[in-house]
Amino acid sequence: MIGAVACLGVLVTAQGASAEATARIVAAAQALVATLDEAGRAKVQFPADSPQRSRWSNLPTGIYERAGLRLGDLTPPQRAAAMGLLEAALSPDGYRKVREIMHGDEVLPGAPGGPPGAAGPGRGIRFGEDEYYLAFVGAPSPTARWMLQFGGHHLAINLTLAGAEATLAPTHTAAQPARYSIEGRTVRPLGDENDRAFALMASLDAAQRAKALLGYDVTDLVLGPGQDGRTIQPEGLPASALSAAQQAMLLDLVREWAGIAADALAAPRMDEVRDGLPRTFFAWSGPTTEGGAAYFRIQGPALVIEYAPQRGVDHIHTIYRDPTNDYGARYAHD
Amino acid sequence: MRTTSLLGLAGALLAAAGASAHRREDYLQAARVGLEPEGVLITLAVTPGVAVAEELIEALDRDRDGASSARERETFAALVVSALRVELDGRPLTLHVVSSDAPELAAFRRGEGAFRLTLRARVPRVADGPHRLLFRNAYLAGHGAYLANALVPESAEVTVTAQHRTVDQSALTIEYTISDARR
Repeated sequence: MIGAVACLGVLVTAQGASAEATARIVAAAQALVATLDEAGRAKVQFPADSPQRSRWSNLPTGIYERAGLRLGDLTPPQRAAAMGLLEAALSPDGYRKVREIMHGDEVLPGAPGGPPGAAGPGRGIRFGEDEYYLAFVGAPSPTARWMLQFGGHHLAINLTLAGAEATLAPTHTAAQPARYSIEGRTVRPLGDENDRAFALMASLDAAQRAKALLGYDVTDLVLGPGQDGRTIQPEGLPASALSAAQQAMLLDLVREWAGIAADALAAPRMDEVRDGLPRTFFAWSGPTTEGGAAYFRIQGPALVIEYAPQRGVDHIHTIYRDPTNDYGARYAHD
Repeated sequence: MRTTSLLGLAGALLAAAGASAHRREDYLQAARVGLEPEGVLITLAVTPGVAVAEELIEALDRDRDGASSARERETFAALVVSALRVELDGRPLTLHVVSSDAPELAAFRRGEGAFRLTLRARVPRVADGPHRLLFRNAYLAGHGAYLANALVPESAEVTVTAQHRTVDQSALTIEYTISDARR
């Protein structure tokens, strides 16, 4: 009885923390709106039933046209409010990741394998930190369902909030270059994803590895942009065949995506992923030694993660989905 | 004027090609195979890289009017389907086009356009027990980057037990069982 009460207390506390996080995000969204004129408010706000909800892409501006508030069109105070909103919505690590992906797009034009010429307008296809867009689908609310969208080249954050409930699915992160330098510091926006995956692979024994290896090439995301509503048959090594330590490594790997959201929102999601471990699979295609360009997939009853190098280690695409709750489908009745 | 626009197009293609080092000279062909007790439903998306988009556009927009008509999409779909082979337990199945869809042609040139096909093969209800379905895609063999996956069956009567592919995923064999869910 005391245990049950304690569990209920933990649940209530967790829900309270999630609801508080949502309230903070709503406050930051309202603070941004307060800096905008009428035209800006019209750009950022979409109706709750707008098809904007599922409009996102990995492609840069000029190939794919986004809607919403363009960072490059904002005044410094407006831009600070927009980034403040992201900071409220994301965990410190998630915010770091987003900033590093955006900055990667700034350095991409001069990087090996990158497009010719400098970033900036006037070339049709545009790169850089100005080319990221922010939108609300549904009015920001501490209780009703709404979505915070933020995206540009190699990034699509789709955070649906409904009071104490939240989902980041689907979210796309990517990096090109996957490694660059700022003031002598090496930046790898998706480095932890890569390193944790190779560490997990290295921990597998021969029998586990044989099950994880797909035995065929995977050259792209299977469930990337435009692939909403599909559930592929899981393949690979069942997480039930992992040791406790390896399962912990797998969960740490999943946290690289689920943990992009603010900590209070990510915690219940990680509980859900943990509960689904007995029906979760880990699959791998490509070299198994660190430094190679390898594809991997984690798939559970409410989870799909794919990590797909694009013909080399310096250009990575990833996707994070919840086939049971993409775009907050579970909250649609609210 | 024409020279200017061609130069502009070439520049855009170059920029797009390098833009993201996204797909350039091959055709991403992503197939999803849905097994049913009475057949198979296949979706196939063909996305040309920016450097080969004009090849696909030439094959699709046969009257060169800058758009794809329903008749042209039908003709192109037939071309793709002729390069596909589906076998159930070793017997070839006939695929019928349920729908075909193409974006504006400029989307192919930008590297974001996909020609999407939905195909179906119907058979009398498959007998209870184990079965094998082969899907082989030879469309633009040598220039294709293939993805082929079984979908989680919508019918409780169908259970996928294994998938086997060639290394390049141009061929997928799905092992599955049929059982009457009412029993």
